[in-house]
Amino acid sequence: MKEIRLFLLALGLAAAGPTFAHAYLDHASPAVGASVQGSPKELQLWFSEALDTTQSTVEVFDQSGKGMGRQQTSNDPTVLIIALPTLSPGRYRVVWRVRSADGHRSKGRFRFSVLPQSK
Amino acid sequence: MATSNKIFLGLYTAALCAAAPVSALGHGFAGQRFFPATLATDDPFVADESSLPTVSSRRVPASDEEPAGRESTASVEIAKRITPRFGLGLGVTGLQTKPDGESAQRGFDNIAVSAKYQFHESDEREAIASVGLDWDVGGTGAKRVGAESFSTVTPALFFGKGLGDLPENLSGLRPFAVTGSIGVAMPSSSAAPNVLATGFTLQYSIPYLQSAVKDVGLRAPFNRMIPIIEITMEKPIDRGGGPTTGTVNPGVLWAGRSMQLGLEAIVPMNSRSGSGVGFIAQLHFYLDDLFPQSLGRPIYGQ
Repeated sequence: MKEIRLFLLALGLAAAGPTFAHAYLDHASPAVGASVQGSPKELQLWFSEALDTTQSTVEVFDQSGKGMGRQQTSNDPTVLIIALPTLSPGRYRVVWRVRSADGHRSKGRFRFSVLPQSK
Repeated sequence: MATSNKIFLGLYTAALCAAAPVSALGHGFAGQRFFPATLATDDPFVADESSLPTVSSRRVPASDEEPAGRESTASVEIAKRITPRFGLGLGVTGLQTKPDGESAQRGFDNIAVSAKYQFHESDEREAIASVGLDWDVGGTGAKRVGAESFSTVTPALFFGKGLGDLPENLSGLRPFAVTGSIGVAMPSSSAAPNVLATGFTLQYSIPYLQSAVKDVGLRAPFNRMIPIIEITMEKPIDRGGGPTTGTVNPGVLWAGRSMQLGLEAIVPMNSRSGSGVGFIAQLHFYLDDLFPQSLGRPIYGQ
């Protein structure tokens, strides 16, 4: 019984310990599925874990499949940034592939829309 | 409760609470889709994981041998990947049966050993499929709680499918996923019938909604919740047969950094499946996230 308790406690403490987990997308700006007025200057993605930024990428594609923008370095290891050119009104697809600091890989995609700038 | 028990419970609870607020994904991925571990239906993937514990309580109907009563269980399961696609599992269940008007009986059910091979995964289609074999080892449990003296072997097919590949005009359905299993339980005793055993789950992933479809602004703890309905059915198919029994289990899962919580109601499908509403709850650990360099990785291969 004592051994079982110690094992349970060890699991609990391990679960409370430092970050050893898959990274998932916590939120983004522009937000997932959002429609923004005017072209955003950049796209930022916030992840749940610190990333191995040398092994983590984010890309933005327009409706014809053309890649837009260039990935920037970020001081925050949980954030990926891509600087964007002026985007025409339309829908854009974001594809991210990341590797968390402990080596777990994950990936995802989402869309956002650019609306004409309001006058 | 003894002082040592209180101290242990306090430390354990504190550790889990510390783990809970920070969230991340564990295992069971097909592309962008995360399939959580489900409580009543076997998972379609192989993983390094431990359910510690799963507890349940429900009223069971009368049988030829016993009056109706309440059955409560507490089980521990551990699954370990041998290779990235092949894993073994071991489960131990403590049972308490309390027939109406009689005293409670306590003891262990038969030990369950399992093997599973994941033969298909499609990231684009968010699909996973596995085949497995479960062996309920006869004679290893206590007869006073109904553990069988004979073994039962159940070959089964497991599947999981996310709806993330639906077209854009159906994007509201993309957070849905289904998983299921179908198998035949074959007892070694000629007196017991073979039983068709099926399980099915319908899940709606809020994490998927917010990271792949539309961020609706839900934050902790709701942003890690996965509402779910599980349906289990068993149908004897020979040797005199018997009624179809099963349960419908609506509930919710919460996937954290390295652990998962689950709570479901157990609603009997018919009078032969029980009466009243029971419950099942689970604390589940992702060993691949807890111990990525040791226990949480396949023994062979990457």
